[in-house]
Amino acid sequence: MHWGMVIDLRRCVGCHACTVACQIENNLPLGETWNKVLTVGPEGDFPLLVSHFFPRPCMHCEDAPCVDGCPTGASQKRPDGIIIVDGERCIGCKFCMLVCPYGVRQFEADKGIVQKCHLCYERLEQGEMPRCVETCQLKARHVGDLDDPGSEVAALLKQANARPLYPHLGTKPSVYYIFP
Amino acid sequence: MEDKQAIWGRLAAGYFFCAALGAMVFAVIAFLDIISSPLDGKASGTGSFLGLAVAGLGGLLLLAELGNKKRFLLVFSRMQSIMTKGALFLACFIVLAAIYTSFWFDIFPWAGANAGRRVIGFLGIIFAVALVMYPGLELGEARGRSFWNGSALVPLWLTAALTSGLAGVILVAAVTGASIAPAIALLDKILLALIVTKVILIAAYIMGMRRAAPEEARRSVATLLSGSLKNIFWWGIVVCGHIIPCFLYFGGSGAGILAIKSLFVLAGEACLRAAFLQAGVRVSLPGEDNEWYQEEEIAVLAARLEQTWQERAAWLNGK
Repeated sequence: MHWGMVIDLRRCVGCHACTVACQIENNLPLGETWNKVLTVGPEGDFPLLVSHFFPRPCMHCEDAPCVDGCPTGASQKRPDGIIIVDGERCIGCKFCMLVCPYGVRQFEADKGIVQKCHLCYERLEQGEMPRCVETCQLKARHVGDLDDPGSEVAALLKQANARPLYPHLGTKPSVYYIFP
Repeated sequence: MEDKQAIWGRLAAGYFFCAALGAMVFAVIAFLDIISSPLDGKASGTGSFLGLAVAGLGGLLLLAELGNKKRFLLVFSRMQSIMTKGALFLACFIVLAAIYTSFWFDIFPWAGANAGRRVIGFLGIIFAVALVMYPGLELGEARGRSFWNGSALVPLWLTAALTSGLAGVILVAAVTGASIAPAIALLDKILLALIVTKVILIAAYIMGMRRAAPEEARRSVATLLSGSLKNIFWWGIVVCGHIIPCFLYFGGSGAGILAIKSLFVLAGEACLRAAFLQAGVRVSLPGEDNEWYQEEEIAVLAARLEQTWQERAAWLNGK
């Protein structure tokens, strides 16, 4: 079992509903986002300008630098591939933030710990979808078992030539993008 | 898109500087002690105490950097992590340096036991070198920050640490009146060689990053040479840390000149740590160059919005 996500950038319209849904689900303060949507472009020469949106959750890397570097074991990789942070063990050294090449980790100053997207693993265990996947009205996000060749995400990986972000860094992300 | 690394700030830079300075001051004094080179006991005692105190200060800065200080002992709980190894090196070094320093003060009954002191000094040197080397490897683990190349940072920071250690010992000798010792004259010459070596290493590091490294490393170099860190680089590292100390070699070897030279070298070292730490920007993600507002700017805007709301509320309530 290896949970993964495929994000179809051709479908994302940058409504930020996933960002807000994630904030509500995890009771995050207004300025903290575990699931930011970036705007790429506009690129090209007028009038032939193109633009798309780029959601950035945690990549849940197989070879996660944050897990390797954590001095307390607070950053952990679950058997199902999801990277979580044990808030009771985190000392807030921010080394994981420093080594994460995707900049997805957030320091919660009031608690003095680092937190991030955990792919709503509690919802997944109950058979529900992560809140961002459930909220996305344009079906840009898909979550499933990357090890199961019959899963929707495995099919998308094959059909749509989905690829991870910056594979050359060697982190082996579990989030794949279908680029426009 | 990051214009400078802001996750680890002044406290971390201060820790790297203090740990390197303290460790290498201790290492130089313990080494002179082991080879029985003449440096008077007062300078050795004061120097090893200074090394201990500065490394201890570094440890406190590291502690202050933590978000959750009460749980700091957990940092020793995962030996696979380079941070855990670093914390262990620091703790062992402080213990050994404290024992070593106690040998120099008559209030302890074991003071003057040369053999024991030298054994502890030798062990302390091992941990001092490890303490100086690990930060380069630690920063090298950040795969998205190519400017921090572990294998190139380690020799650079080791040389820089040794330079600051020698400067620290020379400063102590100048203050305690031991600057006429032959060992200090030799250390002063070694310091000049290290300053020149460091210039070469820094230039090679920056030129290598500028030519061969990924986009974010070139961005880091641009930040250092002509961006937001240009003042700390040119004035702090180049002028204070290298050019002025080299010119001061023409001023003789009086205690005052030695002390001023050492202070300039130490200021340059502090700038080197701070600048290289801040210059390690992360690889930019698609669309991050559109992130116009930095967190501080957002905070200012939010405060202004809140103030406007309060003014409107006060106006509506007729106040």
